[in-house]
Amino acid sequence: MTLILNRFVPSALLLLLGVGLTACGVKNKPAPASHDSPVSATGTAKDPVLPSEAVTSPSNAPLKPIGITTGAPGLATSISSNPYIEATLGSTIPSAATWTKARWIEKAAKALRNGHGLGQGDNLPALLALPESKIVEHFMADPRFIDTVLDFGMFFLGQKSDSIRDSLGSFDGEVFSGRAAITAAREVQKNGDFLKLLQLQQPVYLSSTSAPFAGADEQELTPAQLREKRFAMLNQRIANLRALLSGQQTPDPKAFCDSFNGENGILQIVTNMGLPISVSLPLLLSGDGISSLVLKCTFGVPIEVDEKALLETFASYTVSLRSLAENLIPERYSPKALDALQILDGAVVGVPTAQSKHDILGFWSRLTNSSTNFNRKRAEHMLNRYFCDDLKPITVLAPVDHTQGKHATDSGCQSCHYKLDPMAGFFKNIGILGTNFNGLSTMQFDDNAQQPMAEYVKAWANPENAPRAWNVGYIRSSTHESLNEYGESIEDLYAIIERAPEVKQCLVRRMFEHFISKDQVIDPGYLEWLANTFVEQSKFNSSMAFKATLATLVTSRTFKETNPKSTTCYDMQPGVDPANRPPCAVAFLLQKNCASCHTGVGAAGGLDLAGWTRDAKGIETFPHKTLEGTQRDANESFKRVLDRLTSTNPMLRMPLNMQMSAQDTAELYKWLNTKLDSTGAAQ
Amino acid sequence: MRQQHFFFVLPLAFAAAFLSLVACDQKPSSSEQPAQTEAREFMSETVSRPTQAPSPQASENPALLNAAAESAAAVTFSSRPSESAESETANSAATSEDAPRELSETTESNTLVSADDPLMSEYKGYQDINKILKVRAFVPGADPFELYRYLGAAGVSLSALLGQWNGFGVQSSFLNGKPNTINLILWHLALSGFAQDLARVCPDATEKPTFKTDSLNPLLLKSLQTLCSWPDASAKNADNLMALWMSLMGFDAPYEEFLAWQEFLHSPEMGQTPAAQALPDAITAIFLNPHFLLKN
Repeated sequence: MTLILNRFVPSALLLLLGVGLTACGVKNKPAPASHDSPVSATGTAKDPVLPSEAVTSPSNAPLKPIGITTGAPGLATSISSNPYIEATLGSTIPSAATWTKARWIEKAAKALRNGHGLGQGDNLPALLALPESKIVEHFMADPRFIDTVLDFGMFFLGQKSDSIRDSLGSFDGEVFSGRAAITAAREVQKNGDFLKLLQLQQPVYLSSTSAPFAGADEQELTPAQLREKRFAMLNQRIANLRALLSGQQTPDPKAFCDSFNGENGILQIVTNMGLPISVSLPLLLSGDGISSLVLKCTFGVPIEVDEKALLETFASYTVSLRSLAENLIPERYSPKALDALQILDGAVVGVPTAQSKHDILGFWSRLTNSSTNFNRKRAEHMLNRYFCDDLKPITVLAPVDHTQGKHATDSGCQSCHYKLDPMAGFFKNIGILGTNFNGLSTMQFDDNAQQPMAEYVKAWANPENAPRAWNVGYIRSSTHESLNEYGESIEDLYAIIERAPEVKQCLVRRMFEHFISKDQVIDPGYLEWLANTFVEQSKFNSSMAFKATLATLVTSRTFKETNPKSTTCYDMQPGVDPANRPPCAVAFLLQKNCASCHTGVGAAGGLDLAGWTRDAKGIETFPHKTLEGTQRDANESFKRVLDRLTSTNPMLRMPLNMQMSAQDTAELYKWLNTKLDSTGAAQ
Repeated sequence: MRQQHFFFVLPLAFAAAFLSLVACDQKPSSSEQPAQTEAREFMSETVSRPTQAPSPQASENPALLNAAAESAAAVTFSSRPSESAESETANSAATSEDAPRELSETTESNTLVSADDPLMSEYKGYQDINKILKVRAFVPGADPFELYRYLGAAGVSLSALLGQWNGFGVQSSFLNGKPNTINLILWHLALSGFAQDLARVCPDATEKPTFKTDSLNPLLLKSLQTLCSWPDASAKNADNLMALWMSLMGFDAPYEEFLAWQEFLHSPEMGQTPAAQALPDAITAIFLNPHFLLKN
C-alpha cells in the first residue's frame, strides 16, 4: 500500500471549489434567514379566509380572574378588536379550554409551517372554532408546509441545516445537497410519491444564479459584461490548450494542468461565473465520480488521461455553458418556490441527468473511504440514517464459520462488524471522493493511500464454496442467513432500502423525533402501529400517507403535553391495556419477542415478561419467582435478563431459537442498563 | 467596560433564575373548578377521536378525565419529588385501575421542572427564537431582524452558541442546545438587549430604538407605549399586560405563567421602579421564561 503526498484531499478539494463559488451558497452566501417563508417574501402572507360564522369560542368558562382593576377602557376595546387575540381577550378572561387549544394551534402552526407560529395574518378565533383535523388541513395547505417537508427530508438524510432559506427568501445552498429531500417535497406538493426520498437516483436541481465574481479591476463592469469577459477568457484558455496539444511532443503535464486548475484556469473561470454549482460540478465529475483530470492535476495521482479528448470535452462544455448562462441570468432565475426549481439537463453538460443522491460536497467528502476504515464510515451512516441502527455494541452469536482471519472477527468486535462490514461492502468500488474504481487495478483511498484492487476487495470476498461471491448485504442475523438481504452495489443497497420494513419504521421514527422530540420515549408498539399504517396508506399514495402520519403525530397526546416527562409514553397503539404492563419503552418489545414463553403463572424460569410488579424493596420489576415461589430482587432479574440477551452461548441466548431485530435488541439492552444504573448495579 | 457589563449581567441572570423559581412555587388555586370542567369537556372530545391511538375508552373514565382536566386547567408549578419515579409504565390514557397513578403522573408532567426527569430540555436554538420574535414583534415585511445584533460585533459567531443545526453535508446535529452558564448569559445578553431596545419606544427614552417604530406589531407598540407611564396605575391595566404578554409569548406558556409574571409586575419592588427599568425587566422576564426559550 502506497501512501502518497497530500493527506488532506477533501480539504484541498473544498479549497479548490472555494476559489470562486459565489453562486453556490458555499461562499459569500447571504446571511442565513431566520424567517424562511416564501409567503412573506412574496407578500402573500394572508391565510386562506376561514368561515366568518365560525368565529366563536368553544368554551366561555373563565380562567382564574386576573384580579387587577381594569384601566383605560378605550385601550381594552382596541386590543379586543385585534383578531389575533380577540377570542381570548376583552371583557372576559379566556377559558381554560380555549387557552389549551390555542396553545396547541400555536405549536401545530410552528410544526407544520416550518417554525412559523401564529402571526398577524392568522385568524385565531376562526381556527379555534375548527376541529383539530381541519386545523391541521389548514396548516398543511399553507405554502410553508412544503418547507416543512423539505426540512424534514433534510433531517432524515442527516443534512438538516438551521435555515433552508437565505435572507432573500431563496433556498440556502446546502439544500441543493439534499436532492432527495427536494424531490420528496416536490412530490408532496403534487400528492405524488413522497418515498422518492429513499431512491438513489435524483435530478440535479439548479440553485440561484448570482452576479459573476468581480476582480478589483472589474468593479465597473455589469454582470452581463463580466460574464462575457469570462467566456472570452474561457475560449482563450481552450485555444491555448489546443495550441499546446497540437505539437508533436507530449505536452508538459504542468502546463496542461495549469490551464485547467491554475490561476485563471478553466475551473476558476467557470466557478467565478456565478452559475449554480451543479453547472460547474461536471467539470470535476465524470459519470459517478471525480474526473481523472482532477485526480491527476489536483492531487497528483499518477493516472493516464487523454488530454486531447478532454480538450474537446472542455470546448463542448463551454458552448453548453453559454447556452445555460443565457437562460439562467440572475434576473430570470432566483427561485423561491420548490416547483420553480430548474433541473439540470445532464446531456447539455455531458453528465447523466439523474445522478446519485450522494454528492461530492457532502456524502463523499465527509464520509471518506480510507485505507483503514474500508467504507465503514459510509456503512455506519447508512445503518444509522436509513435503518435507525445506531450500532449499539451488543454481543452476537458467532456464525459457524466466521473467522477466516479477517480484521474485526473477534467476538467482541463482531458486535458491530457483523453488520457494519457487509454494509460497507456496498461501497467497495467507491474510492476517493466518490470515484468508482470498478474495473481498475488500483483503489485510490481518500487518505491518498493506494492498494491493488484485487487485494482490497478480499475484505468482502466469501470462500470459493460459499453460496455467493461477496459478503455484502444488510445483515439482520449473524446466524440465520435467510433473514439477510445480500447484494453487491450501491444500486442493490437502495433496492433493499426501498423494500425493507425497517426503513419505513425508521422514517416514521424520525418523524416522531423531528416533530415531537428525539429525547421523548416512544412506545415501540405505537411506533410499529404508526409505521404499519404508513406502509398500508403508502400503497395508495405515499404523500397522503406522510401527511396522515404527520397529522396523527401533531394531534397526539405527546405533542400536546405541556411539559412531557421524557420517560413517559403518552400514546399507544389502539387496543392496548397498559394495566400491570412493563414500562412502555419495552413492553411491546417483550410482548413481541419474549412473551410466548415468559407469560403468566407458568412462565419459563418463573419470569413473567408481560407483567410488572414490585420486589421486596418496593422496586418495580418483572414478576420473577424463585423455585420457592418468592419474588426475586429487581436487580437480579434485570441482570439475568441482560445476561441472557447478550449471551454468546446459543443455548442460553434469548430469545431462544428466535431472531430479535438489532433495533429491538438495542432498545431492550439500553433500557436494561438504565434500570441497572438506576439501582447502582450497572455492569 | 466589558467587566462592568459583566457585573451588570450576572445579577440580572440570577434575578431571572430567581423569577423562574418564584414562578415554580405558584400553586393551583381551588377556584379553578369551572375551568377544569371546560377542560374536561375538551379532553373528552379530544381523547375520544377515532384517530387518537391510545385508549379509546378513556373518555368513559371519569377519573382519567378529571386528571386530564387537572392537567389542562390547573397547572402546578411545584417541583416536588416524584412519588412515582419508577412508574414509567404509565400511560396517560389508562384504565380505571391506573387512574390514581395517572393523576399523579399527569400532574407531575405539568411541573415546570421535572426534577426526576433524567433529561434536560434544550434551547429552541437561535434560528427558532429569532423567527418567533420576528413573526410576533414585527409587521410582515419589516426590515430583517437579527437578534445577534444585541450580542455585539461578534454576534454572528456567538449566536452559534445559542443552539444551532450544524454538520456540513451528512452528519448534521443540533449543537449547543443544552443550557449551560455560557449560553445562559448569552441568551440574557441578547434578549435583555432587545428588551431595552423595545423600551426605547417610550418618549422619555434617552436613545432611539434601532428599529423603525412603525415596523413593530401595532398591538405590541400600543402596549409598550401604555407601559411607558409605569408605575402609574394606567400602565398596569390588565388588558394591556395581557397584550404585551400575548404579543411576545403568544400561547407558548400556560395561562398560569402569565399570572405569575403579572404578580411579579405588581410586586412592591416593581411598584417603585421607574419605567426605564421596569419595562425592560418585564419584557426580559417573558423572554427568559422556559416555555419561551426551551423545547419541550
